[in-house]
Amino acid sequence: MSYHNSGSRGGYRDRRGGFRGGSSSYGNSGHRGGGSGGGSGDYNRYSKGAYGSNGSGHSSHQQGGRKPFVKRGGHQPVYQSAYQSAYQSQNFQTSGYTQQNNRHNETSHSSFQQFQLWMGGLDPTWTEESISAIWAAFGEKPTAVKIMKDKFNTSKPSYCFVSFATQEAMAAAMNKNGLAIPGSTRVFKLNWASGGLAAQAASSVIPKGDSRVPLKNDYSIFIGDLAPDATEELIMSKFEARFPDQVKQVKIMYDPMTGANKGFGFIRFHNQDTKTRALKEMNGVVIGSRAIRVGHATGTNTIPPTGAQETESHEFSKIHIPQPQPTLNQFTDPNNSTLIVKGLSSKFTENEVAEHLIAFGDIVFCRLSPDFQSATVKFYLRASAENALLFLHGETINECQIEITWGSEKELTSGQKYEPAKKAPLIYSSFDVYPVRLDKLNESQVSELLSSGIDGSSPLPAGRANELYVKAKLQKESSLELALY
Amino acid sequence: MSKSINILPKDINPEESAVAEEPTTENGKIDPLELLQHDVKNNPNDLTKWEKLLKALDQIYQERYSSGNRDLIPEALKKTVKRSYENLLSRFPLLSNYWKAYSIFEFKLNGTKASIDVLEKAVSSFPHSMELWTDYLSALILTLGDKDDDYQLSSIRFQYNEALKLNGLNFSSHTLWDKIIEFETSIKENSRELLELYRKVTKIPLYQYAQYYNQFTQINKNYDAEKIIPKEEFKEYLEKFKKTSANDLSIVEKHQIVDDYTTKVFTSTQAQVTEKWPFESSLSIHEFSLEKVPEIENETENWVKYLDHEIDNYKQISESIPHDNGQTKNKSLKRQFEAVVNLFERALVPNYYNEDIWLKYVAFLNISLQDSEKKFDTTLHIYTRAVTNLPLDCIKIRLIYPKFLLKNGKLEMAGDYLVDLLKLFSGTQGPKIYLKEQYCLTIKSILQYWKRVENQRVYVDTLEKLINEHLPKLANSSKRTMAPSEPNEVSLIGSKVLTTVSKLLNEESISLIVVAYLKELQASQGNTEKIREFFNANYNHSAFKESIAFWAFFVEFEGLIHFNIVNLRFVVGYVKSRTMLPKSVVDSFLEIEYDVVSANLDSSYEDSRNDTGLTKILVNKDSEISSSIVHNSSARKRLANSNYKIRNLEAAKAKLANASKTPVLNREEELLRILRTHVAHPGIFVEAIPDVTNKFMNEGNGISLTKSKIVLPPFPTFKNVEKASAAITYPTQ
Repeated sequence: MSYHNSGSRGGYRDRRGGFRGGSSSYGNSGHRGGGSGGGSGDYNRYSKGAYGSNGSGHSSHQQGGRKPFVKRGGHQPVYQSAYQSAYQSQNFQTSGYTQQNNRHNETSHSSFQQFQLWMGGLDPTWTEESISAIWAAFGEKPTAVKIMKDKFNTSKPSYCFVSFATQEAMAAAMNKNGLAIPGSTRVFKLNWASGGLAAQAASSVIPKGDSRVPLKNDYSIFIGDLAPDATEELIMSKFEARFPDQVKQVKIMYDPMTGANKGFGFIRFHNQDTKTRALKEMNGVVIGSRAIRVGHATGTNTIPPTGAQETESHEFSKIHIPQPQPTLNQFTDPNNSTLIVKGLSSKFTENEVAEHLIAFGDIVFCRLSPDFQSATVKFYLRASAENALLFLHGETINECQIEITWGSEKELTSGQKYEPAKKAPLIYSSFDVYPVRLDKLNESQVSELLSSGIDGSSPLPAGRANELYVKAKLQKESSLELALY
Repeated sequence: MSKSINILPKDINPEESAVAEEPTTENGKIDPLELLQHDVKNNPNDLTKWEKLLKALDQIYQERYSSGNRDLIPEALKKTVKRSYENLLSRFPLLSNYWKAYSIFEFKLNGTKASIDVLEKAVSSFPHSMELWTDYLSALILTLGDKDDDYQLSSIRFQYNEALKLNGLNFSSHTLWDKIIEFETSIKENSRELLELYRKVTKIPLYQYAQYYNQFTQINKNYDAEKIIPKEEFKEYLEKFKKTSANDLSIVEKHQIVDDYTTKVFTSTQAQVTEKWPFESSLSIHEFSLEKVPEIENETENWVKYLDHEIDNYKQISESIPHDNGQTKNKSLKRQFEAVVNLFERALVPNYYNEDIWLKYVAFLNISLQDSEKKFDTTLHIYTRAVTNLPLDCIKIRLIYPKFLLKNGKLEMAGDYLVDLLKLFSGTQGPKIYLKEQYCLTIKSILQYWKRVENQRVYVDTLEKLINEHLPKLANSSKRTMAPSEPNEVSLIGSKVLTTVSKLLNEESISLIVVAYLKELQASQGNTEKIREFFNANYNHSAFKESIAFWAFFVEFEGLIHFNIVNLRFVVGYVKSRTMLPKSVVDSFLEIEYDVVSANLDSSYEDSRNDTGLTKILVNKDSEISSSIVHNSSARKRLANSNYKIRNLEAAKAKLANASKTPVLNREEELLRILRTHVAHPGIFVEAIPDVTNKFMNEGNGISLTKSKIVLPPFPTFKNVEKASAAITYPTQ
């Protein structure tokens, strides 16, 4: 039925022939870079140059909305090189469009190269078969494995490309990144093979079903604020109850690392009506332990698309970038300002620990462990803690090799979950002219400090400035005086 | 401020704290009891562990011997029980519930007599426990066979009077009073003793004050009015009734007088109760507890307020102008004194480990007691109780105590005590716990003490001797500071004490002694040379690497006393690049240096001509106190020298290089390299930092835009991209 099936270049020529007399607009398309003025002239130039091959493909595309060439380019390297680049650029611009047609016309066409992953860190003893077996053991049997060896240095760690049958299989496989490979000391080192990203982007819209590209008539809505206990089944049943036989598919997004849902998902309906109704009626419906929120799914089309619009339908917010967010702990919490100083001994007193750290900023508390082996110090500001850590890393003080690292305010016993640190209340001034230890002050002193802070919003009278200067000097003097030894 | 009870003085005592041996295995299995005992020994402050041990003992008794004859119980069990309870209760004598449990257990094992002995011990170890006294008295009363046995009766009366003396003023002591009144009533109604008790109790502000008033009004008509009412007041009544002697009064009149008097007492007691009630009602924990520490700490403030209130009352009375020869005043002053002392003792039950209340107690005794001998004895008793029982981190009262002794002329006692204290903190005894802060403060106190009891010459000599033993390089070994002390000059610091102290010294205390020594030198004229010699000989000794006082002395000496800029610069220069003082301290020194130099610019430049270093001091001040080791070059130098990661690396490299070549590492560069691995994410080290390997901008081969033909630079190539996207390894937790 299609152009594709007709297949031969001869077919083009025919079409071309029909075209010849017709449109003059064609010549203006400018893709070739040389389009000048009149249609016939353009045409002539063409015919002089490389008549018969790809120019025609181009035109048919422009005009008829039928498609074809693009994919073939890969399979049939028959084009002359001069035109190859032109094709490719064309291909790029219209990929959304072409893919869509693809779906209708040639599902069988889906090239395995599209679902390909790069896999590095291979054991030199592995063969393509054994890699295939490893994947099979994980339940993701690849369709093909291709090991790429360095021509000149065969001992160099090699890599391979692993192809999968479907988008889901590839996405599932990608989730194995970083896992240990059974029977080996290595871990999975995976990445999208080039070109995979675009496919991946498209895939997350419709992860199931027979297609990997957005539908023209995709009546999807976005659902957000999902409770952690909301499952696809639960949501499906809720929507089915309201709109019987209208729900096509429910998809919740899960975090590949934690396995918890990300709090949002998408629902596809069979028609526009239901979709509009759902948008109106389902907002705030309680599913699981929380009320959901519904909205337009960006990237799906409410207006029947024209080709030009559809080409822009990639939604970057949905592109899965394989960089998992680490779990929140004392090392990853951006608000954590608590340090733990290890490697101490009874050669340290609490005051000495604080003395070594106070140069970096106000200290909320400083506590020595009962066995004198470590101390927990919380700074008011994160930046102070960072500076202290950078400054004192690896130092030997009082004959102790101290080790400073991030800690948590409450002592964590094994298995206890880290409690996120609260951000310190904003103050627009320093507490005092010198850093203070807040745990050494009583309530009234703290409130005095807070009220007397100088934020620089008004000019400081000379008398006051002098007072502060003297205060700072006296404090330094007395701290030298009060030194333990 | 929450303070956990860490170490008690007895933990340091070598005999008792011999480290518990691992339980031995018998027939291949460990006796669970022994395991529990072992546990307790290692965690003597953990009551749950004690609880487990005592429960296990009780269980053994219940299972095997509860039904049988007492004589069948093996001695070993009895001994174990006794030892366990005694150990616990000698550690925490205020745990009254355990005393009670102990006495019950003893009753089960050894009978009544033994259980009464336990209670007797209980009230002597914890004399301010109403509960224990009540139990003790009940037990005594129960064993009283013959009501007419005068000896037994008087011994019980003696004991209850003791109990009342110690606890009768307690606001909620009604159980004790009830017990005693019940006892006296059972012996004989309307006895003299009973009247005496009622006369006392009705005047005390108690929670149950109304009850005693009611009881008294029931029986007071049985007594003679003269006996109820004190002489003075009875005279007033007689005058009112215009009679000359009691015999002239009719019975109705007598009753009227008794009623009037009783009501008067009642109203005054009631007023006192009302006054105390707001304080009493704010206190909910009256017992000693190891678990409810935060709750107790919350209430401490209320106790202090209450104490202040009562002390104020005392002061008011003592300042009031006496009428009638001061007799009433003295009487009420004495009553108030007893009330305050009782309140202190009550407060010290839950707040036993709060040294501030102990100090307050001592301070109160100091203002209230007049007779100096009695004052010394009483105060000494309180001090001794405190210093022997408080945890070792209570240092304040321990250092005030020798001052108190000194003030009272007990020089030797104070000296011995200080040396004992030094031993206690030095970590040389028992489980070898070194308490640095306490130790240093004790050394300071000893120095103060020596300075006070000796003349300067002997003092300096002593210091010199100690320093000579520990810093062999002491420069002045040839010439003596002062004229040598007369051989017959008696030094209070015996040579034995000196050797003891000398053995207990470490680097911290040596720097303290050195500073004290230098200050003495400085105080007497003409020692500038000597001090500098000392510095030259010893400044790079490891003892001073972390001594703030030592460096503060020299910064002050050179900078603020002698204005010797060259020397000052040397001192500060050494501090900032070679020592391991805290950054805040180094910053202070840098600021002093800056201030001194900028205040004496003329002479500074005069002194250090042709030297750019001086200008650097002025220009680089801000970068020198910066907390970035990239900008702060002196800190970089200082830190690089004492960084153990770099040292370890050096050692490893030296090994590789076969030890033939010397330093293979630029320490400061290495420090910066380490910094780069975590500068963007402090504390999380990523060795592989992605980078462009063929940067053309940085290497001087940039693209010239003035040339007409521009050669396109090559595409960038990268390194570490793959490594950087690998999973991050966090430091182990």
